Amino acid sequence: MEESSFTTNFKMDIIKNKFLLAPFLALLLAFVLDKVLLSENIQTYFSKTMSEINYSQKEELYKDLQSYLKQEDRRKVLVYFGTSRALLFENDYIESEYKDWTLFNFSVPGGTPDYTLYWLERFQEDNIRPDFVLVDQSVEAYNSAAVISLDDVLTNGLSVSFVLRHANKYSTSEISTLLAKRMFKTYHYRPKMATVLARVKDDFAILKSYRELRAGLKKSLKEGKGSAMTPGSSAGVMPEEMLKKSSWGDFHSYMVPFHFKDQPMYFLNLSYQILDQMEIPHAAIWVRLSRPYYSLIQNEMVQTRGKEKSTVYNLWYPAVMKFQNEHKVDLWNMNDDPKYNCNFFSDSGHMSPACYRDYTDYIFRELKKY
Amino acid sequence: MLFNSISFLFFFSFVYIVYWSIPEKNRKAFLLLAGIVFYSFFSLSLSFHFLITVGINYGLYRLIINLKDKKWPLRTSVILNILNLGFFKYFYFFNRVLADATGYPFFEDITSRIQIALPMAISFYSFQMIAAAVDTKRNPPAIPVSIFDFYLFVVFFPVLIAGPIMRMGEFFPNLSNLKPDKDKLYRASYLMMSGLIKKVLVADPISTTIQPIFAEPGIYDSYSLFMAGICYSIQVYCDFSGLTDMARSVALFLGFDIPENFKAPFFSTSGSELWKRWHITLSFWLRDYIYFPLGGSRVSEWHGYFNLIITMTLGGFWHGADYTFVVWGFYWGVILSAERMLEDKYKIPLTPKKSFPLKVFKAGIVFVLFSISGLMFRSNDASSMVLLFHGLITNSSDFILESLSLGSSQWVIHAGALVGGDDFFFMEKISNLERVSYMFTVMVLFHWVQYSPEILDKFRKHDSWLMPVLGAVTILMLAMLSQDGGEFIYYKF
Repeated sequence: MEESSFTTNFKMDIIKNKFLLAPFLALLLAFVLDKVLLSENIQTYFSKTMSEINYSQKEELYKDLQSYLKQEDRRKVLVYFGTSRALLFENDYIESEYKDWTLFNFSVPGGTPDYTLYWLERFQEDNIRPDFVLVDQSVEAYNSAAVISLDDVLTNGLSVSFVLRHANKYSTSEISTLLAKRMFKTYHYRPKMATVLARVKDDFAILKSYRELRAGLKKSLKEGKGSAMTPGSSAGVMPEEMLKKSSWGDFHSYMVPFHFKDQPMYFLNLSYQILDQMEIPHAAIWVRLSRPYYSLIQNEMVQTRGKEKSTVYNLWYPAVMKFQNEHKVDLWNMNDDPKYNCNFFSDSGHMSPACYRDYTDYIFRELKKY
Repeated sequence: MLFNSISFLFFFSFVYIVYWSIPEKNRKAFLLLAGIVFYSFFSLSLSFHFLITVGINYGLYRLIINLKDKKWPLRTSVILNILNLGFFKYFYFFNRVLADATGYPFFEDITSRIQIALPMAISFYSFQMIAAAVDTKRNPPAIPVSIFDFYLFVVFFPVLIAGPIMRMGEFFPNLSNLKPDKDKLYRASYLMMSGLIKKVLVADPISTTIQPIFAEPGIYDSYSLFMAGICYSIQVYCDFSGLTDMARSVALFLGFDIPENFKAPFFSTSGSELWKRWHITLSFWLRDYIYFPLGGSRVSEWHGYFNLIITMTLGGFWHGADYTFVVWGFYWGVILSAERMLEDKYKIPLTPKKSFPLKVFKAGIVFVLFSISGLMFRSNDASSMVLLFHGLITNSSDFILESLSLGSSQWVIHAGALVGGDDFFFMEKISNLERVSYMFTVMVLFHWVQYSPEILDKFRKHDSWLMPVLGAVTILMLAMLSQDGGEFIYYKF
């Protein structure tokens, strides 16, 4: 009796007193304003990056891959999960030199193993079976104490459900950043009035060319099956002295101090499991770095988690080799391969386009072994 | 989980909706559960320690009420809380002091062998429970608080990050009035906006201006070191006052009116006024539970000064386990004693009563004294503090050139000029100083609102549309202008 009178008489305070919802109204208002202000068109007034295009284009690339794999008369498909160190391949060159093969490039700026797993989970779900999968192994992904953190994948590439499923592998601050940037684009892009003013000057000259560059990149990525030169990225060859300076700066931004984290191994482990289950041949690659940068990785002593110092190479390479061996997955180590000799770099960590044909030849030479 | 994080936004949105959806009689239980969950986010194992500590304190609270001899349960409660605080917060410091004093390597070694985590809010909840025990002994209640309410008093999550330090008399009257209240909701919303603006748009950006200086004080010139103190005063006020605004806001959203910690402290015209306006709940705690029991000012003149110095030094020590905090507290003890001596004994009027320009001038002096103490408070360690104060006097190129020109060292000046030109002996200078002027202005505006809150009353009739609009604008401003990172300064205490 008492129970039924409770259920009939009880009305929630939050329903009775609508003013209690006022704080949510403020949130909703901010949310709507954020979405209106930062629609694709308005975003071009202040956005300074185009890296998010690489990520958004991958959905289209995935559909293209699905339909390509259904074709009866098709080439073998190599899928590459790499970083910005693997964006500039030429499919025309690949298809003319290696007639059996084509490349679907899932590489993205700041690519990390969680992004690989994110796609491989979808491959498994949709039963997408390329003929070979190449996975990047970059030392930068293993440092939890880097001055510059790589959060491109987290904020542009992964779904919220993926991050929540693997929440124990992300810090609270990473999850916080992800949710904040997904909820508010203003937080993601931080529009600056100075950029807007510069873009509208001279009858919107900079704005127009920026929009053209974006459209051009989208088109190139589509045509290049995920590979394309990002406009504005350095395409030339950096002189030796500048390369040394760039290496020193990047080394201190990404490697000092070096606190080894095993989070990439967690994601790679799950990725290798999926590839094994789907019986897709696969390997990992450590892409060539400029020699001054590599020399610092090999020889420069850095602060570690404990009191003692060590080189990044000694902290990272044996652990990664052990991991690869345990999973029986080859690591193609371009950095220590005496047969690979192209050493033109756009900066400390990025091969110049002048080396991409050698880079391509290296990959397909290794691929022949499978 | 900090108040300015997205995770807290989700946590609190859930708590808020459930809290105002369930019957009033269940709200306390739900709030206690939310407090435990909130603490568990910080550390699951330490939340057990926290709950056991509160349970023991409740047992002693009941003994203070029930026993004729109230002294021993009171003493046990005070000693247990101090030991608990001392073990977790001061273990490393005491060993360092012993190592420095005796040179015995054991005290150095033991700190590297034992890892002790600092439980969240331990300084705040320890003081809160000591106050509860002492107040209960002084004025035993007719009806004891239930164990459930006692837990809620200590595990109340809005104050678990950094206070304010509440007394039982300030908390329990709220429990009889947990009904939706429009005025409380709007006040809560404005407090949240002001707290977020203070923290995210003032304290965080200014911290990046001064961080390099405190990292390497030896290479900066005197002016930069002095300005670092000024900037730190702005930062610490906006950080801590912002945090308090947010804590009070979260409590108000749930229907709890909790005490203010700041009332325009930098408008103070004396040191003693400053400590009635800065971190008010701690100041009054120190007064009621240390200074008065020591005898306060009802003792001989010099004993009174001693009491002041001891109280403030212990207050400094409460902030952190380092020599820097001890020196900071001692510095304020000496200033307060000197003020009292000059005003009470020598009848020298230090605090202007009428003249506005004089008041501004005196407030400026107090602000500079605070900023100098800020250099102690913010120094990374004792040696860095000494380097900083030494640099404050000697780090000018004129001073270096003057020192070198004496005696036979003049050749160094010529050699330096040959190698590095005229700039060779110049020190590093603080950068981004232009930020300071507008942040100082923002700080003064917030002081003005705290000093005369009634100035905002005339806008309150528009709450229904003003709050959502200002709220949305604030959120977008925070999103656009915030910097990544930035823990609260008082979070670590």
